[in-house]
Order: sequence, then structure tokens, then C-alpha cells
Amino acid sequence: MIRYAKLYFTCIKRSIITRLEYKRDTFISIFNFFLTNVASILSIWMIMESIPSLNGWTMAEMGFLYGFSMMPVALDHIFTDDLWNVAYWKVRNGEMDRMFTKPVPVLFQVIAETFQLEGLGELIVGVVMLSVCGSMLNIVWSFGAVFVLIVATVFGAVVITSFKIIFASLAFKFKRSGQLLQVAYNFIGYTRYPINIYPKLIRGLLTFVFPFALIISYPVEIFLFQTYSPYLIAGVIVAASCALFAISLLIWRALERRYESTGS
Amino acid sequence: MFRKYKPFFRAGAMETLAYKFNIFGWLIVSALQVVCVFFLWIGVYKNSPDQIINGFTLRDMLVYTAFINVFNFVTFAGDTMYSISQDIKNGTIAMSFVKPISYRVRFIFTTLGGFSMNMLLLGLPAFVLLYVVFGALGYIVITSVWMFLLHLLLFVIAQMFAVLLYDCINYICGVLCFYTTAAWGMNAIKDVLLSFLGGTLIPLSFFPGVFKEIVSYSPFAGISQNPVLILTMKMDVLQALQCIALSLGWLCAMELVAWLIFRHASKKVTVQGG
Repeated sequence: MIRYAKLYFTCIKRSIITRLEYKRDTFISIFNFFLTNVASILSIWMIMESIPSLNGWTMAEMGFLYGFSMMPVALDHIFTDDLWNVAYWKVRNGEMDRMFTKPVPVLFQVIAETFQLEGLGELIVGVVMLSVCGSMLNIVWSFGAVFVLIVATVFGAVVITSFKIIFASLAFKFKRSGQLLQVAYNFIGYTRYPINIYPKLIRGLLTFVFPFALIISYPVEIFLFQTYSPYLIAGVIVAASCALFAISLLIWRALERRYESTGS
Repeated sequence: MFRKYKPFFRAGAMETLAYKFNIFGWLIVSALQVVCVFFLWIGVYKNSPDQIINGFTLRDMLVYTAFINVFNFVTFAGDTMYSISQDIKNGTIAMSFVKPISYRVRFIFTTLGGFSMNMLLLGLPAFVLLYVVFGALGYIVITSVWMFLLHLLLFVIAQMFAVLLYDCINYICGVLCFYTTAAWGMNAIKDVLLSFLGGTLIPLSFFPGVFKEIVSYSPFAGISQNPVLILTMKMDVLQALQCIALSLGWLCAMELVAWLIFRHASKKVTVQGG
């Protein structure tokens, strides 16, 4: 365990140092994620300007929701970004070969490959939106609420990571699964708007199949409307994320064995 | 004069054909996004006191959303920027200084080749399908066949300018890679600006006050929003002609900028290996 922790920090340090070699490039990338979010937030704002409220949600509430959805996304982005590369091209190019020759689990190596500084840009957007919109809405930061925020951020990131592991491991079978992963990942985008605008089918999909509403939409409603019990939701999130993570590890281990180098 | 560039046109078309499965992948990814945006707009119009928001009814908005997503994919053909950054990375850019063909014109032809293939494989079928479906639902009303054909013609012209404008922006971004190696980040920033200021995320008439004026006269409007508005007959002929003239003006200006930047950049090119 201690060996892995040490190994992880060595890898991460290397990743950060490599990135900081090219300061301007890193800055451009971080700026890109900042800009992407500003564009989305401005679009939501311009839509909200033209109507009084969206199914009972005001702009400040929409902003709070947006900020909240950024938190697990950012956390996952910072720690597990290399899974995208596995899905898109690392299996196909045979770049995974070197990982299979080392006496450390492959998944560990993939996770330790990058510490994505861009995710910090998203984290900043999330925190800023949460605090600005939160103060506009006079949100009560009670113990239960903060507890839910932390659980939703950390275990929400685990949920997202689990989906990335599942879909990235399909690359071992199909050589390339990037676009499938993209499809699953894009469902997170659905939770940036209040889920009561969707028909029942999509709501069910977002709760039971791609449970991103569970980690974003329902916790936010605790803050804004006190709809659910915070501890109940937190419990469900923890249980769901652990189950999903276990499943994703099983799938990864099963498909990992099918890896065959594509040569080159 | 342009005959020597014909192989590049064909290469662009063949490359797009070779990667035609990209189109299916894109269809699934983007269909999901379009569904999300559809429900957002349905929700918005349900909550609106007016039937028309910034010149769009709900039906207009759904038509607009569907068409702009299809034609964005068609327009964003060619990977000029990526090719240039690769040329810089592995040093093949040096060859382009000695070849008796223009580096710029070569890319225009490759992009036009890719665009033609995109249009054939996706643009045309999607156009027919969407027009039939939305026409049958009564979301698009064709009052006179001649007007429809005229709009179709204007759309083809506007769409050509859209591709050329996009390729020019791509080229400028590519040449900027002489100064930085952050090609991925630059490309992503370009995409964000195009989708936000081009009207893909939200029609430009939603922009507040003076910003609306600014963005509708920017070159970005001519890349995404204007061709779609012409095709779906949300613009009359006069407006369409104005938009096309605007695109032509921007194209000249930006090609000049591209030429100047390339001249400056090629003097300080640092090739990494090769």
C-alpha cells in the first residue's frame, strides 16, 4: 500500500514537471477549459434572460447547478484523464505494451500517468459558481448540506471514473472505444439543466443507467428545495459508486487479458 | 492555373471517404446532444409568456438546432490546422518552402475535397431527410417552389464561403503553431469560439444589445448560423445576399492576415527534428 502511494506520487510529480516544461502550452489548455465553461454559462444566462424561470428554476439556481456539476467532473478530470487516451489510441497504437511488462497493475499505471492540470480550471469554475450563486440564493451551508457536497464530489467522481474504466476497457476488445466513451460521458451534460425538463424515460436513464442525476441533480435539490434527506442521498451515492467501481474493476480485469499488441 | 492542385482535392475527398465511419460515430454522439438541447428548448418555450423568443418559435428553434448540427459537421471538414502542426513537428514543413505549389492553396483544395465528400455522404441525405420530416410535420413551410430553389442556390454559395472561412481560420491557427506547440489547446479554443460566436450553442439573436450587432457582423456568423438561416428560409433574399457579401469581405481580409502571419512566421520557424 505504502509502496503504491510512493509510486503514485513519483509518477504524478513527473507528470506535473513535464507539463510545466511547456508553461505556455499548459496555460493555453487551462484557458480553453475556462473559456468552454464561460461560453456554456453565458448561453444558459442568455436563455434565462428571455424567460422568467425554467420549470421553477431561476438563473442563480441554474448557475448553482452548473457549479455543482463541475465538482465531480473536475475531480475525475484531474486524476484519471489518461483513460481517454486508452480508449482513443493507446491500445490501437500498441502503446500499452510497456505497461504490461511492469510488475504493477495496468490500471494503476494508467491512473498514475497524468495529473491533469486543466481539471483545476474546471474546479475553479465550479467553486466560483457555487459561492457566487450560493450567496445570491442565501444557501444555508448546514452540516448536512456540506456533507452531501463533499460526498457528491468525491463519490460522484468515482461514478464518472467507473464509467470511464468500463468504456475504456472495451478498447481491449475493439481496439478503439473513444466514441462510445464519449456517448456515455456526454450524458453528464444532461444534468446541467433541471431534470424536470426531460420526459420520464430520460429521467429514469439518468437515475438508473447512467446515474449522473443521482450525483448531481438530486444533491442540488437538497440545497435549493430541501427535497430529500441529505443522509439518504449521501448513502445512496456511496453505495452506488462503490458498486459501480467494483463492477468496472471486474470488467477491466476480464478485458485486460484480451489485450494483444497491435504491433508497430 | 489550379490544375496542379487537383490531386489535393482528390486526396481530401478520399481521406474523408476512408474515415467515413467517423460520420456514424459522430451521428450517435451528436444525436444525443441534440436530444438534450431539444428538451431544453421545449422547456424554455413552455415557460415563456411569448410564442416567439428573439424571432424564433419553438418549431423554428428545433429546425435550427437540427440543421446547424448537421451542417457544422459538414463545414468543419479538413484538418488544415492539424496538418500544419504535424508538418512543423516532424519537419516536413521545410519541403513546402521548396515545392513549386502554394502552401495555402494546397490546403484549400484538400479541404474542399473533404467538404464535397462530407456533403455527399452526410449533408445531402440529412438535408433531404430533415426537410421531408420537418416539412411533413409542418415545421418548415414552402410557399413557392421558386423561392425555395433560390434559397437553395444562395445556401450553396453561403456554404462555400463558410467552408473557405473555416479553412482560413484553421490555417491561421495552424500557422500560429510556429510560435507555440499547444496545437490541441489552440484547436479546442478555436472550436469553442466557433460554436459560441457562430450560433451553434445559441442563435446569435439571443445576444444582448450591442453584442448582437458585433457577433452578427463577425466572420463566425457566416460559418455556422447564416447558411442554416438561409437554408431554412428564415432570411429573405436581400438579407442572404448581404450575409454572403459580408462573408466575402471577411474572407479577403482574413486571407490577407493569414498571408502576413505566414510571412512573419516562416522567417522564425524552428523545426523540431525531421
